[in-house]
Amino acid sequence: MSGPPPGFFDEAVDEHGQTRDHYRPVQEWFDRLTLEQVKALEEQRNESFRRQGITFTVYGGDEGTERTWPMDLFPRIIDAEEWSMLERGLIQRVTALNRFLDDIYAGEQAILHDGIVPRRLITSCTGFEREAMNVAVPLGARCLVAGIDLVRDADGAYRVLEDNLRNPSGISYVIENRAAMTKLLPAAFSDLAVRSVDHYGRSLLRALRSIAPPACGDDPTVVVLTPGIFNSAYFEHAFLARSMGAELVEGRDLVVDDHMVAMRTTRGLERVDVIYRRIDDAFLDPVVFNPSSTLGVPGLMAAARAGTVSVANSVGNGVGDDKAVYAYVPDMIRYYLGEETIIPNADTYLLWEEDQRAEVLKRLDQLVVKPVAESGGYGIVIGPRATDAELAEAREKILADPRNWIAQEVVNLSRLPAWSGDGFAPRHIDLRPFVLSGEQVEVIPGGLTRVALREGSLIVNSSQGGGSKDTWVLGNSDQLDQAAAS
Amino acid sequence: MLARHAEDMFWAGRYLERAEDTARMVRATLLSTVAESPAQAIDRMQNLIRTLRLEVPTPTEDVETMAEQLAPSPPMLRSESGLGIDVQVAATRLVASPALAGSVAFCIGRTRENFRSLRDQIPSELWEQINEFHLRLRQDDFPAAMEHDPFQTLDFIRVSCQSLTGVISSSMAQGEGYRFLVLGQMLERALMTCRLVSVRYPELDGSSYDEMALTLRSVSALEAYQRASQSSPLGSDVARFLMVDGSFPRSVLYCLRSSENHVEALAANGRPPPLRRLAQLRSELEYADFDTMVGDLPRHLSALESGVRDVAILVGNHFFRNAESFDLHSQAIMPGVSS
Repeated sequence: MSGPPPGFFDEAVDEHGQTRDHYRPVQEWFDRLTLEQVKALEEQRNESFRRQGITFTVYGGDEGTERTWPMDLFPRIIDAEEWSMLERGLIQRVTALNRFLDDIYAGEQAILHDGIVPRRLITSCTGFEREAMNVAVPLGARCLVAGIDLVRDADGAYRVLEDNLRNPSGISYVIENRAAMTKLLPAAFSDLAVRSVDHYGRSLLRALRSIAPPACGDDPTVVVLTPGIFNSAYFEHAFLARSMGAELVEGRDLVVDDHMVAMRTTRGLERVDVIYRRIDDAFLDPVVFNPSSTLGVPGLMAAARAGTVSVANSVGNGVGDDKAVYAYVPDMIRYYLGEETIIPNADTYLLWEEDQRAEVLKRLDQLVVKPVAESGGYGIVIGPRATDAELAEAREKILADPRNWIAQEVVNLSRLPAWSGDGFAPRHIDLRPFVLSGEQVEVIPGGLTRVALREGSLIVNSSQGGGSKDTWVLGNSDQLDQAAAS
Repeated sequence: MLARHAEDMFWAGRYLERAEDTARMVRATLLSTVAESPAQAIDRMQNLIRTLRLEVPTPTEDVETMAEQLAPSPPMLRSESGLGIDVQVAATRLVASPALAGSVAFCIGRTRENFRSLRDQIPSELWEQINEFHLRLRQDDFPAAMEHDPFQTLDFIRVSCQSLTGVISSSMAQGEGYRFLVLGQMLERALMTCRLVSVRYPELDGSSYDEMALTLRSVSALEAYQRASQSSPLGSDVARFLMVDGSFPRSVLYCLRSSENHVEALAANGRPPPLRRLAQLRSELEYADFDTMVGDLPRHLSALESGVRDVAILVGNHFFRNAESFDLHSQAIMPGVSS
C-alpha cells in the first residue's frame, strides 16, 4: 500500500500507507468482504431504505422526485480524543454565537459599540431581521439546533466551513444511517465502543421545553411546524415529531388569537407553547414577512414578541449564517468568552475590504468564491476548476456587489474510502455535527458525514450527487454508561 | 388530535377499505365469468362497474363518439376494439390503473399519501407495509401480472390489505386516530355493501345458486352465510344477511353499529349530529320489518346509502371543521360519493 497523494489528508491511512489505529478493525473487516458480499449488502440497504421510504426530494425537472437516501457502507470513525477536542470547540463556538445573536437582537449590541464587528456589516445582512428586534428568547438559546460544517485540510486540521444556524437538516439521516448500519453490518461494530446517537429526540425535546415561556407551567406543549409533505426535508420533520411525541403541524393547523397560538384539533383549539419550526423566516408569518406565504401563521411574530410562545430556531439567525459575519466568529469567541478559538475558520477574505479584494482578484483562479447568504453549495465558484469565462463572471459579480461575496483558500477535503460500484476508492468528505442549546450546550456524538461520490469531486451536498456515511465516535466505557443512563 | 390528522386518518381508512372491497368484487366477478359466454361476462363486468359507481361506457360502434363521451374521465374502461368493454381489460384496469379514480392502485396510492402526512402519528411498521404495497402496485410489470394471473394477484391484494388491517389493530394505539381510521373503513364498507345489494338484488330474484354465490363471494360472505343458514338460499335471505346480520363484519348493520361506537367514543360527551344521524340510521335498519322492507328494497337501499353519505359529511363538519383542508379531499375524488 502506498501513502495518499500529497495535498489531501486521508482519514484512514497515514503518510506511510499504514491504516490508522482507530480504523484498523473496520478496515480489516471490509478487507475480508468479497465483491459479491458488498454488492449484496448494497442491495439490502437500498431495499430497506426504499421500503421504509427513507428518501429526500430533488427539485428540478418536471417535479420533485423522491430518491432513496444514499448511504455509503464504509463508516467514518472519530476516536475519543479527537472528538473531545471537537466537542469543546463546537460548544465554544455555539455558545459565542448564541451570545452574539442575543446581543444583537435583544441586548445592548455591545459587540457593535465596541467596534469588534462593524455595524454596517450587520445592518447590510439579508439575514438580519428587524422584526426580531427585542423579541426575547428564554435562556438566550437562539441556535437551538445548530449544524456546523467541518472539513479537514491537507494537514488533517479541522476547520469550520460554515455555521448553519437557521434550519440545519440531516439529523434524521444520522439516526437512520446508524439504524441501517447496525442491521446490515452488526459484526463490523465488533468490540468498538461506538457512541449512541438515538437519544437525539429526547435531547431535542428537553432543549425545546427548556425555552418554553415561563408562564405556561411545567408541561409545555411542543409542536414541529413543517411546510408540508412536498418539502424536501419532510421525512425529517415527521421523524423528529415522532421521536419527540410532538404534533407535526402545518401553518394551516395553527391560529393566533389575542397573541396566543393554538392548534385546531378535533376538540377545538388547543394552546401551543413551543414551536420547533422548519420553515424559513420569510414564510413564517405573512403579516410581517412575505405576505404571499401560505405556509406560515398570521400573527405568529406578534405572539412571539408578546412572549406567549417560543419559536426555535430564533427568527433572524440568518445574520450568523452570513459568510462575511462568519469571518468574525473567532473575534466573537474572544470578545464574549475570553478564549482562543479551538476549531479555526477556513482562511477567509472579505471582499468589501479594499486591500483584501485586490489581493483576491489577483488570485481568483486559486481561491473559492462564495455568495454570503446562500447555502447548499449553490453559487460557489471553485477557482482551480473554473473556466476563464466563469472566473470573469465571478470577478464582475464581486466588483458589482463586494459585500455579497467572500473568498476562501481552497480546502482540499480529506478523503475516506467509499463504494464506487466495483470497489472502495477514496472520496472527499466533510462533517456536520449537530449542536443543541438549552439549559446547556450539547453535541450529538458524530454527526452527518457527507461524501462526494463522484471521483475527485469536492461537492458533498445531497442535492448535487453527494452521499452520506455513518459516523462513529469511539468512546470509553464511562461515556457509554453515561449515554445509556441519560 | 389535530383536525387535519384526524381527517387524513378517516380518508386513509376509506381508501384502504375501498381498495380491498374492489379487489374482492373483481375477484368474484372474474370467478363467475370463467364458465360463461362473452356476452354474459360483459354484462357482469358492467354490473360490477355500476356497483363501484364508475362510468359504464355505452357500447357503440363509433369509437370517436365514445372517446368524446369518456373525455372528462379517463377512458380507462374502454376496450381497445371500442365495442363496449373487454372483461379482462376492464378487470386489469379496475385493479392496476393508478390513473383510474377508484382503482385499487389509485386507492392504495391515496391511502399511502394520507399515511405519509401522518408519518409521525402511525407506527413505522404500518408505514413500511403501505409503502411496500404501494410500490408493488406501481411496478411496471404489475398490470401484466394482473392480466396473466388475476386470481393470484387479487389474492395478493386481499392479503396485503388484511395485513395492513392487522398491523393497524395490533400495533396502533387505539386512541382517536385509530377510531377515525376504523370509522372511515366502516362507513366505506357499509356503502360498498349497500351498493352491492342494490346492484345484485334484481339478479337474485331468479335465485340461481351461481348468482347468489357471486353476490356473497363479493363480500367474502359465502362461507359465513352457509354456516348461518343451511336452507337453500333465497334472494331475500341473501339481502337480509348482507344488510342486517348482527355478527357478520361486512353487513350494513354491523358496520353502522361499529361506526356508532367509534363516533360515540370520539364525541366524548354529548350527542353531536353525526352520532344522532348514525343512531337513527342504525335503529331504522335494526328494528325495521325486513319482510316489508324487501318489498321496496331499492328505495330503502338508496335512502340508506345517502344516509351513510350524510354521516360522512357530518363527521367532517363536526370533527374536522377546524381543518381548512376539507375541500382538498374533494368528494369527486371518491367515485360514487358525489352528492
